Amino acid sequence: MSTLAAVGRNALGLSSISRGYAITFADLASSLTERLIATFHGAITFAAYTRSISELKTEISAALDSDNHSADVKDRLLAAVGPAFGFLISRPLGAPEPVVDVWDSGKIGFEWYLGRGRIVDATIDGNRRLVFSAMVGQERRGGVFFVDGEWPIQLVQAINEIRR
Amino acid sequence: MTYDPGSIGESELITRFGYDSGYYRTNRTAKTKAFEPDENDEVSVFRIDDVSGERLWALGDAARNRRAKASIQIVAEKVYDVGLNLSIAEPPVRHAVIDGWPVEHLRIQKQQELADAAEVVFRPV
Repeated sequence: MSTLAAVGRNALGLSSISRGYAITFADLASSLTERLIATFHGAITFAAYTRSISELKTEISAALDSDNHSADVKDRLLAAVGPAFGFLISRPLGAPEPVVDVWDSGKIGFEWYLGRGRIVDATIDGNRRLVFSAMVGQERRGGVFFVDGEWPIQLVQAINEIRR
Repeated sequence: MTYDPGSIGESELITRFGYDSGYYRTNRTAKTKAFEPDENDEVSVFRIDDVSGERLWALGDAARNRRAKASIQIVAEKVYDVGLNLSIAEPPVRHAVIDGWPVEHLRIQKQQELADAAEVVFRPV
């Protein structure tokens, strides 16, 4: 499949996707995850962060979808963008960087993987719902929380434990 | 094991095909999102017990009309072990789905279990 996306750089130095081009869901995901990682590293100011969310939502809603993802998925992804940014901004000091991924259902996923049996996954949806699951050796943990400006202690503990 | 179109045995090997790096890592492990159910609450898989080489990749290519890059393989027994089900969903031939998923917020743990047990085979370049 040929991708006709025109990916350039915006004022924040992050990739932006030109309007009107057919782009793949992977392009959208890439643009989004790049911004989320920049947010995690505190590489953008609050004003830039606000502008970035706004830009990204415009890009996602304006983009044509050449991967046949439904309008519902795009709507869900749009709704999840703000909560995902909020989650990363509220990271505890010293939190390790997750791998950020857009899931096919429109949720945004965060993964901390240190090998088989040492993994923490979390997803955030447009309802600010954070679902996490962890394998800490033989132990299985999980929970459902709301993104409210602080990471759930259970999530932080699981991340810390798989790093030991 | 000989392919039985009427039932899926516990020892059968099944695969989820990966078309980009979103479903797997370079160290041949699968990501949790590889087993995310679709809007019909199903995960599309193929039964590949006696399938290998070009026949394997042809199944993946035909499934999405895209070039499959990886085969994320797991034994059927693991699917049953985590409380999920496998249902035959032909055509296409050898197609099946993982179904029986619980409510949404309980799914991620089962996805994680499947991904942790899976082996990723990359398509030769």
